[in-house]
Amino acid sequence: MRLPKFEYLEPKTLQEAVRALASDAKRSVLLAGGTDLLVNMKHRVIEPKQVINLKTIPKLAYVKNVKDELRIGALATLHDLSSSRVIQERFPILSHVATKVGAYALQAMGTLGGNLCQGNRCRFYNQSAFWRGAKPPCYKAGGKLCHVVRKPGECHSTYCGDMAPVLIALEAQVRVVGPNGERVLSLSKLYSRDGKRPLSLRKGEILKEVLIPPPSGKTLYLKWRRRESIEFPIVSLALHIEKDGTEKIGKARIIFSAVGSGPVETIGAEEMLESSSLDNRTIERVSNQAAKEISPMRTSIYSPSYKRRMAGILLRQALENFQIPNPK
Amino acid sequence: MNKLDVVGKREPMLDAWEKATGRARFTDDLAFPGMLYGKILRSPLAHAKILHLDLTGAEKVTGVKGAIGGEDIPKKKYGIVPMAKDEYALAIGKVRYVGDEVAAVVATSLDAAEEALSKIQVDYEELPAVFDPVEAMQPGAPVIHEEVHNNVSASIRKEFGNVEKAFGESDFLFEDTFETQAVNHCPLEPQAALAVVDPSGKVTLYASTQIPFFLRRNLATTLDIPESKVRVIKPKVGGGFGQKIDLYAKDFCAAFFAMKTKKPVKFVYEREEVFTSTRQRHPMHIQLKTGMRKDGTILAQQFKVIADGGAYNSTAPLMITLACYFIMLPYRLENLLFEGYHVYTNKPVGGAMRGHGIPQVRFAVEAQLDHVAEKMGIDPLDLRLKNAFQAGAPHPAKLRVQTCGFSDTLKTAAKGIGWEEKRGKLPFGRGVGLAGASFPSGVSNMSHISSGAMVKIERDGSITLLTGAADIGQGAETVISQIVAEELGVPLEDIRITAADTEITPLDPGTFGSGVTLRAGNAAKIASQEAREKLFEAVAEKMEVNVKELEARNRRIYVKGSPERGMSFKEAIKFYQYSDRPMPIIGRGSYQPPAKEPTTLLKEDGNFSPAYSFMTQAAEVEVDTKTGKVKVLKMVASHDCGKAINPMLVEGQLEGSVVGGMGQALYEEVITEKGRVLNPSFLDYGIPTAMEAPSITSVEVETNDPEGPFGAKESGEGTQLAPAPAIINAIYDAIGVRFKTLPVTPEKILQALDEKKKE
Repeated sequence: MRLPKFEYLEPKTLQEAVRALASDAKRSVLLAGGTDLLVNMKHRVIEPKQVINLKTIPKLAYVKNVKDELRIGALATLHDLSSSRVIQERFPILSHVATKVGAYALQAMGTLGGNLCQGNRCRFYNQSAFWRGAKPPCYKAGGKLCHVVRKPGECHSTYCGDMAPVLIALEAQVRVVGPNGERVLSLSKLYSRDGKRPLSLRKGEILKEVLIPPPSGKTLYLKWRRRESIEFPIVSLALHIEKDGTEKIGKARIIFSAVGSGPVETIGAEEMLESSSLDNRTIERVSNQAAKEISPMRTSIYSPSYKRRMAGILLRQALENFQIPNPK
Repeated sequence: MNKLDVVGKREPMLDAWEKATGRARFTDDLAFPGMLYGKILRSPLAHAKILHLDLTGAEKVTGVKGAIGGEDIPKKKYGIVPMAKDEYALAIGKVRYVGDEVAAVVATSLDAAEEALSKIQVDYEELPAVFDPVEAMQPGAPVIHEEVHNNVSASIRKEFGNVEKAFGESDFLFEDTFETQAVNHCPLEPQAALAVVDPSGKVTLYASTQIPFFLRRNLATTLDIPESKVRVIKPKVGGGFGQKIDLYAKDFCAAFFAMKTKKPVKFVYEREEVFTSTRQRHPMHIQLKTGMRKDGTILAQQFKVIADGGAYNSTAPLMITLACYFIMLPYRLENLLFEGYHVYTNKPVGGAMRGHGIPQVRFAVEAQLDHVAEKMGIDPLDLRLKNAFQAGAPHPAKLRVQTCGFSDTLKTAAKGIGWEEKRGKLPFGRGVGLAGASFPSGVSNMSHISSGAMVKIERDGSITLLTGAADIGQGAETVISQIVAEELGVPLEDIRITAADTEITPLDPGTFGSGVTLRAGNAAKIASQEAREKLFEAVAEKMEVNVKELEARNRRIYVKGSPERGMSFKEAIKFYQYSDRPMPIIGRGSYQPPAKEPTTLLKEDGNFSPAYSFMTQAAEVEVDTKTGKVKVLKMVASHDCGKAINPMLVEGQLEGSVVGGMGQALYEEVITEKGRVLNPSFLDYGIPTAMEAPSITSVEVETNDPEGPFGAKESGEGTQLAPAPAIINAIYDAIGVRFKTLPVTPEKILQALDEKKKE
C-alpha cells in the first residue's frame, strides 16, 4: 500500500510548526514516529493536505529533572523512555510500560507524544480502503453512520494507548503550544472522549512535553493481550495506590485502556477503595464495581463482555499484588 | 553403513549468511529497466454478478500502460489438480468471495497503479451468499459454481473392512464432534511475480513459488501458449507451507501484461491479500465414532467430515482423500468408514497447508484417543503403543510401510517430557499431553512426479549441481548438496548449486507432499554416482585396480581400506583429461519412486508414497486459571525421519512445526464476518512470536529407510500434525477440560472453568 499524495513541511521551530498547523488545521497532520499515522494514511482513513514533520525541530526529545518534576519532551522515543537511567531510577513503571508498546521496532520509532496522541481504533476504521470499500465510510472516516452501533452522529472508536493510563495515574500534565502561547493541562483532560476527535487540543496546538510530579505511592500496569508482543491491549489497567500512613488506602487511581473512547477512570471503584483496607472482600467488590463501570463497545475482534470480564480480573490481580508487603 | 563425512552433519544452510545479512534476493528484490508495476482490483462483495466493468477511468491515469478484466484473457480455467479446475485468473461473469480478482492494471509506478484501481467502475448485482458449509450443502442454498448444485465439489466415501460389524463387536463406543478453524500459512514473503519477455516472445517469470515446473505448465495453459514459450525461475523464496503451490492472478497477470506491453512487469501482494485472496487451511467439521475392544485395541472408526473449501477448489479432491487415508496411520486400523465433503462457500479459499487435510482429522483422533484412554482406564501412552503401526504390517489401503519408528517416537517423546513422573501428578493448572502422526515422504505417482539432477565435475575439482528442487527456505539445496558431497567424497564447500529454473535445471515436481529430500535427493545421488563412476574408471585404469575397489573421500580417490593407495580428486580429474576421455564429466540422474502399486489414491488404493515418516510430540503446559492463558512450557518433538541428512535443518523443521502447532492450538484464526476477513494483518492475526515459543527438544529417530537417500524420509510436513493435539491433551491434564474446537483461547478456557465450577 502506498501513501496518498501530500505536501510535506519541515519546520525548524515549534512556532513555525504551530503556524503551519493553524493555517489549515483540518487538513494537516503532525508526523513524529509515524507508526500510527502512516498506516492510517496508507489505509486512506486519513488523507491530509499537508504533513508537518516535527522530527526536524531540535530539542524536543529529552528526559530531564527540573527540581522534583520529571519532564519528557514529546519527541522522546519509547525506547528512550525504557533506556533512560533517570526514568529507570525515578519512575521504573514508565520504562516498563514503554517496553509493552507494540514491538521493539515500534518503540524505536514511536514517540511519547505520538503515543499519547495516537488515533482511536475500531475494526471498521483501521482497515484498508479495499476492506472498507464494501460499505459506505463510517462516521469517523467521514461518513454518516457509525458501523459499531449503526447510528449516525456518534463515534465509538476505542482509545488503545499504553502510556496514557499510567501517566494519568501518576497525575502527569502536558504542556501544549498553540497560536496563543503555551498552556498546561492535566493529561486526563487531553482526552475529549469523543471517538471522532479524541483529543481536546485547540486549533493549531501541539503537545510539547509531559510533566510528571515527584513519585509517591505505588503504580502497576497490567496489559492483557493474546501475545506478549506487537498487539494493542485487549484491555489494560494502570493502578496507583497511596497508603494513608496506616494500613488503609489514602488515594487510589484506576485507569483502563481499550475499553472506551479515551482512557477510562473508574471513579466509583476508586472511591470504594479509598480509606478501605485491602482485604479480599474489598478486592472482590472493587473489581466487580470497576467491571460494571466501564462500557466497552464491539470495536475489535473481542467482545465487550470479554473485555469487561478481563478488566475485573486484571484489577483483582493488581490489587492482590498490593496485598503482598513488597509488591513487584 | 559406512561412516559418513558430510551426510548426517549439522551444516548451516548454504544461504544462511546471505539471508541473515539481507543480501539474499527474493522476487521483489529484482528489478529490470522500464519495469511496470501491477495491481489487482478485488471484489468487495462475497457473491455477485459482474454486470459491467469499465476500465476507461483507469486507462486515463497518467502512467497506466494497461488494464484488463476477465473478458480480456483466454478463457482457460486453472487449478492445481487437473480434475478440479474451477478458477480463472480474473473473474469472468461473477465473483465468489471478498477478494476475488476482478481486474488488473499496470503502470509506470505503484502510485499510478493504485490510483488506477480506484478509477475502475464495476457494476455488481449482489447475489445471496453462503458462509457455512453445512448450510451450503442444503437444497436451495446459493449456487456458487453453476455446475455444482449442492456446492459439494469433491467428496469421498470409502470403507475398509466392515465397520458396522466391528462396531457390533466393540466393547466401547465413543462419539465426538470436533471443529477446526481457518489458519493462514503466513509466509514472511508475500506472493510475488516478475515477468520479462525476450525478443523471441518467450516469457520468463521470476516467481515466489514452490513448484516452478507446475507453474510453467499452468501458466502456458492459462496464457494459451506452448510450454516452450514459458520459463519459470525461482529466486529465494521466503516460506510457502503449501500456500505457494497454486498459480495466482499475480503470475498470470505479470506474464500477460509483459507479453502485451513488451516490458518487465511485477506484481507483489500486500499482506492483506495474502490473508484474503491466497489459500488457508480448510476449517473442518468432524464427527468421529470409534469402537474399542476391552483390551485397548482400536477396532473401527467412522468419520463424517465437512471441509469448508471457500470459493474455489485448489487441491480439494486430494485434500479430502489424504484426510481419509492417513487415518490408517500411525495406528493399526482395520475398519474405517470415511465420508468426506469439500464444500464451496463464499469465503477465502482452502488449499494445501503443511499436513494437507490431515492435521484437522489427526487433531480429532488424538484428542478423542486421550478421552478413550481415560474412560477405559488405560494410560494414553500405553493405548498408543498398543495400537502403534509396525513396519511391514499389511495396510488396509495397501500402503507399503517399510520402516516405522512410531513406537520409538512415542517412547522418546514421553521420556523427554517426563510422562511417568508428570502425567496426572502435576498441580492443578499444569499438565502434559502427547499425540502421534504419520505422513508420506512425497507422492509416488501423479503426473510428472519424477526428479532429475545433473552433476558436473569441473576441472578445478569443484562440483556443479543442477537440480529442479525448489528450496523455499527449508534448506533443500543444502541437503541435496550434502548428498552430492558425500557421494563424491568432497566437502560441502566444493558444491555449487543451480536450482529451480525450468530452462536450465532438470524436471522436478517441486516442494509439496514432503517429497523433496527423498525424490530430488535420490536423483542427485544417482547423478553423483554416475559422475563418480566415470572418474573411477580413469583412476582404476591408472592404478590397475577394479573400479569396485575404489572409494572417494576427503577429496581423495583411493583403494578401499588403503587411503595411501590413491590420488587426490584434482589429480584424478587431471589424469582423466590427459587420458583423452570426454570432458566434461557429467553424471545424470532421474528418479521416480518405485511403481509397485502406485496410486494417487483418488481412484484406487495402493502405495501412495515411497516412504512414511512417523512422529510424536509431547507438550507440557501451564494454564493460568485466573486469566485462562495457556503457556506452553516445553515441547518434545520426536520424529522418525529415516535418517537426518542434516540434523540442524531437521530441528529447524521440528521447531517451526511446534510454533505453527501452537498457533493452531491456541492463537490463530482467520476470522470472517459475512465472508470478510476481520483480521487480515500480522497485528490482528495471532501468529505466535518468539515471546510465545516454548523450550523445544528435538529427537531424531533414525530407521534408515531402504528407499530414501542414505535412509532419509520426510521431516517437513508431518511434524505439523501432532503438536496441536499434544497441547490440547496437555490442557486436559492441567485443568480437566476437553476442548473439541480450535483455537483454545483464554476466553474459552475461562468459560470452561466456569462451567466446571457449576458442575
